[in-house]
Amino acid sequence: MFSFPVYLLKSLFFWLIFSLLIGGCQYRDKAKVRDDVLVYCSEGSPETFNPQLSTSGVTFDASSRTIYNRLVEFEPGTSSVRPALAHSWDISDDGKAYTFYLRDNVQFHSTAYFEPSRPFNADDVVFTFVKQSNPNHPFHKTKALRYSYFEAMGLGGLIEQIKKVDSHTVRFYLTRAESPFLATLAMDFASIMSREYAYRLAEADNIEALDNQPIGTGPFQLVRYQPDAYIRYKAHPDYWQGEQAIGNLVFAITPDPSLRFARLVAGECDVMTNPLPVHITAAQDYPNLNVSSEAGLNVAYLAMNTRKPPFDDRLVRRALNHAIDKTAIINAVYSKTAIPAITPLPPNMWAHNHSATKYEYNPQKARELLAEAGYSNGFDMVIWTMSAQRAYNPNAKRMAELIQQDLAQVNVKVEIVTYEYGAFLRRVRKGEHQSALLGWISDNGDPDNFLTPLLSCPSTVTGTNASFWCDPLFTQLVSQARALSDKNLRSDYYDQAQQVFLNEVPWVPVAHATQHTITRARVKNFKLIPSGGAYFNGVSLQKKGVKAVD
Amino acid sequence: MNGQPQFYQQSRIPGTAARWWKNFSRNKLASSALLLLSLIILIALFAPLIAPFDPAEQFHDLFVPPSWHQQGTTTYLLGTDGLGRDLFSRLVHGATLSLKLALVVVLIAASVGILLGSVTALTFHWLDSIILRLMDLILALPSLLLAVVIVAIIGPGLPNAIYAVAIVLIPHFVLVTRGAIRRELTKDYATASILDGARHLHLFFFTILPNILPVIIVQLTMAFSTAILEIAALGFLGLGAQAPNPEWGTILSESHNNIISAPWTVTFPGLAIFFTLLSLNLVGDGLRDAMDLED
Amino acid sequence: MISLFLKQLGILLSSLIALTVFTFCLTLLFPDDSIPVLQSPIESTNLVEQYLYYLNQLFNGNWGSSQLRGSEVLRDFLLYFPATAELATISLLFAISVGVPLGILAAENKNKWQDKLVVSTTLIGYSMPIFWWGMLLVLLFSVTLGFTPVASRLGFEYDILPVTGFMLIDTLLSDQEYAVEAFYDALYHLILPAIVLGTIPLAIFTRVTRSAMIDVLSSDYIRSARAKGLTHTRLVWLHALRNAMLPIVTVIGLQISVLITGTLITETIFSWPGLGKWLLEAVYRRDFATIHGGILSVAIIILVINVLVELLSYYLNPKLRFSV
Repeated sequence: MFSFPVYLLKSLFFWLIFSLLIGGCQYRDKAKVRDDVLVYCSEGSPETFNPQLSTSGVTFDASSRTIYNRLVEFEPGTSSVRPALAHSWDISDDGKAYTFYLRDNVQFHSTAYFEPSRPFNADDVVFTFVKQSNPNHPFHKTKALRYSYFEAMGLGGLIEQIKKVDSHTVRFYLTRAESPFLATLAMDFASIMSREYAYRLAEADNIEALDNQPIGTGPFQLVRYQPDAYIRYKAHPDYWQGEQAIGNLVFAITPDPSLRFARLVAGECDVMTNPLPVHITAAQDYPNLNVSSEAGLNVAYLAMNTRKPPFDDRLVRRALNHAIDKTAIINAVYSKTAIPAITPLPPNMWAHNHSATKYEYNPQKARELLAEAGYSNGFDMVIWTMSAQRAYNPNAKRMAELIQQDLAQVNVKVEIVTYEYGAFLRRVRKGEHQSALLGWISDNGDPDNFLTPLLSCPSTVTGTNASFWCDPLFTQLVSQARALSDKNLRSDYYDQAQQVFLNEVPWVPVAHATQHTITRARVKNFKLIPSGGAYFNGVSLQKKGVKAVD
Repeated sequence: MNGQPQFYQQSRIPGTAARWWKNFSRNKLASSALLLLSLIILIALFAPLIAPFDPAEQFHDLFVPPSWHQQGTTTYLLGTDGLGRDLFSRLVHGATLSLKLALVVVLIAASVGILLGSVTALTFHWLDSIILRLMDLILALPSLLLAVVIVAIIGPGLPNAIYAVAIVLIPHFVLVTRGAIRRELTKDYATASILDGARHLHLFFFTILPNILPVIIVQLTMAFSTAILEIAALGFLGLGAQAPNPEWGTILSESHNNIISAPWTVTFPGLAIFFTLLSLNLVGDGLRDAMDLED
Repeated sequence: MISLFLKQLGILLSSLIALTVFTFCLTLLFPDDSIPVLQSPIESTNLVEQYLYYLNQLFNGNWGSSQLRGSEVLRDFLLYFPATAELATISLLFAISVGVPLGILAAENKNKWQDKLVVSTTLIGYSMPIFWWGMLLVLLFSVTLGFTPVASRLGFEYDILPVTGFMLIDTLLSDQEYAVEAFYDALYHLILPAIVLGTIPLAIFTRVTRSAMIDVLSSDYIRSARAKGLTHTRLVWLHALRNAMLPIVTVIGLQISVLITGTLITETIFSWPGLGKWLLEAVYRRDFATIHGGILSVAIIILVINVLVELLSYYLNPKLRFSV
């Protein structure tokens, strides 16, 4: 006898299977849509799309590196500067005037919310910088965020005046000769914005849109942003370097690093930055994943407070440099994702002194030096660490413990004290410590950005020189280098300065953390920029056939 | 019975408890579950003796696979986690922690719940209604959500997680107790006692309580299982026991990050929770059947 | 019937009032000025007036703004609600469509191997900590086998405009050329989370169906129908099931709680942008306005659904329907 409910169930079941099969076949063909899209697993949502207002790498990845250009930019894979929106520049003999010659025919983005009427010109450059420096500028006021980097790099005091010479020439007058200025202009906060767009927004009484509906000259333009979910970009069809090979770029916002890795393995993402060491090891097992690494522009070090004995004695400081096993630290703390530090500058920096004195791990030598200094019975010391994890030091406490073990071998008894990040920085700045584990991440990749804030005499006053080491020769060498524009001349001065550092060793430089990116095999030409972060200019995808899994 | 001729083969008619036990042991599944449960309890009790290492001790061998793997060693039976801690030791101490926490939670919930349930079953109609409505309200809200809310206000951490889960379990005890008491009150023997002149308290302790014991016991077992699960869930969400406590859920929240690279750090804590819950639920079910209760 | 409806309405209203009193007390426990909009501007008012002001604000939809992103709490709720609703609905459908037939199967073969298998499976499902279960499924099906996606509601290569918030609808409404393909992609993204979320309801539905069916199948009227010569299928599906529906429907109401609990965990594992993830983020970051709004909105949903289920079960239960 016919039973309707059974019939209904049976037919529903049939349709379900049928549609899943059909859908399944469709699903396998999805490669066609996926082919033209590069998905980047990003670490978080951007605070804003205006890079002037942020210091966060996540924000820069999403804004300055996709949507904007700068006058000059970093050469990928190095910390050198190359022309971008400015095709060339002149520096005056006294080093105080920088004249930039701007590129012709650079188009701004054309989107649903803005249609530019003219290409990029000098007005936009002037607008970008005066907006940040002049408190009375109509676009200066911001709701919550500040022009953090503009202030931090001291541009307010450095730039005396910005002059538009003609439609494609801009001149910066500085208050003093400062060669790192060029590298500073390559930083994200110096991204060039559209003056026309800004004023049009002002007329429509919608100034906030400058920050969340951005317009730039960069390789990609914003299509849609869903907070905590995704950011969609498409290639800028009139990009001055030529339209990008990637038609569509999507940032898949995934704060959880293991989910990022899982997505990468499953093929939902193509690129992942800042993997955990365990992911780097695991990636070796997947043939279609490539790991690329680059020494980051950072350094982790043990600062010895030269104002407190026994660290006022150079022999003691040298002894400690021989007593600490950096390789063991790199294996245990960094899981091998670092290289030993010899000078404060990482080796991939142009100013790194490759022939400087190295302090080999040699406990015997350390004991001899200590005996010579009068400490054959050793001494007691305190190492301060912080509880937060930093890019240059994944586990400061563990590092301190290893140092403790090493120093015990030479009769030095270490006590470890841990502070929370904020308290730690405050007290170190006041010089309350005997020694402390610290680190530094460079902003603009210029050697001065390492050496002056961390080791010069003036910075003992501001407190950023944690060893309170004031050497007149070193300081003089570094400030002279800062005033010169010729790279080779500067390099000579820095070589000498690093040698002075290594004679006096106010620190034990420990390591430079390497930064890594894991990409799927289909991603070509992806290069790391030394300051970290994802840069998609010039990246292409190898087109695949019909298979969904590559 | 002394001096009388023995007509029956057995000299003693088994009491209630013996009868229950006999029923229970006939259920093979439940009996094996009880065995497993006893094993887990034993491990929890003698954890310091069984665990080879201290659960917080960090070795330099990070992410060592379990001993049967190529790269594993027998030193670390189940391998190590991201900080170099022996997983087996952590799980063993985690058993102690989980069981101890669940015990505290259930004791709190049961004492408050049974008391409240008894009061409401024997009291005025309007008070009964109010308490009933309140319990319905608490029951209506999802347990984990309630626990999350409580933790959101008073902050994460072990003691607060205990209070949160206990509060969530109270209504179950209240309703079960109340229902059981009211059912018993309708029965003839209770009416007989009342007619006999028994006062309320006497009635309660000597007549009703012994007869609702089966229901309470089953409820205790179920509550224990729920408590372990909720505590683990809170630990997983980072709102319960905080790292480096070796609570199973907390261990899972740490190892969740390494599921691809170190799957054993996820498998074994999960298995521990699973088998504990399974054995508890089986025993609870078996008890229910053995004591001949309705579903 | 009308008096019943009114009675349920009354229960709902009293529950809602109790709920708002509870959440009002919550706001008192929060740090000062967490939700400025809900605090009465007049300084020296007593608790009752403060509560009335609070209630008034709630009515007008002024639930405050998130401390993190500055967005309005009510708007955020409407943004995240569809994702959870979609997931919960699919999970429920999964649990019912698999659980009820399994329960019937077990009841018909009581104490035989089918029954024992089903009962042990439900017990396993019931004892499984779903956060672990979810992780295992992802490890097996998504990472190792590549059958299903790892997380999220839709592949990132599809650009679908959120119209209703329900991905299954929005994909079909989209005018992109890959609309249908995206629809299937959304389905694939729903499979694992629905299984994970629906596991415990599945176990419960199976159990309840089984016990209800056992009761019904052994009752007199069924035995007489069988004696009358009714075919097996007709017997089970038309007569027995209809009478077993009542406890099943009641249980559906209870499952809402279970589903919401499961949502918190499932959305964490699968990075599902729904209410659970929204609420948890707020708890982690101590965003009190969102915590308050989240609890209030979820509780209201639960209470309303419970009342609807009560009404539905009254409708299905002829004993009660005709006696009122």
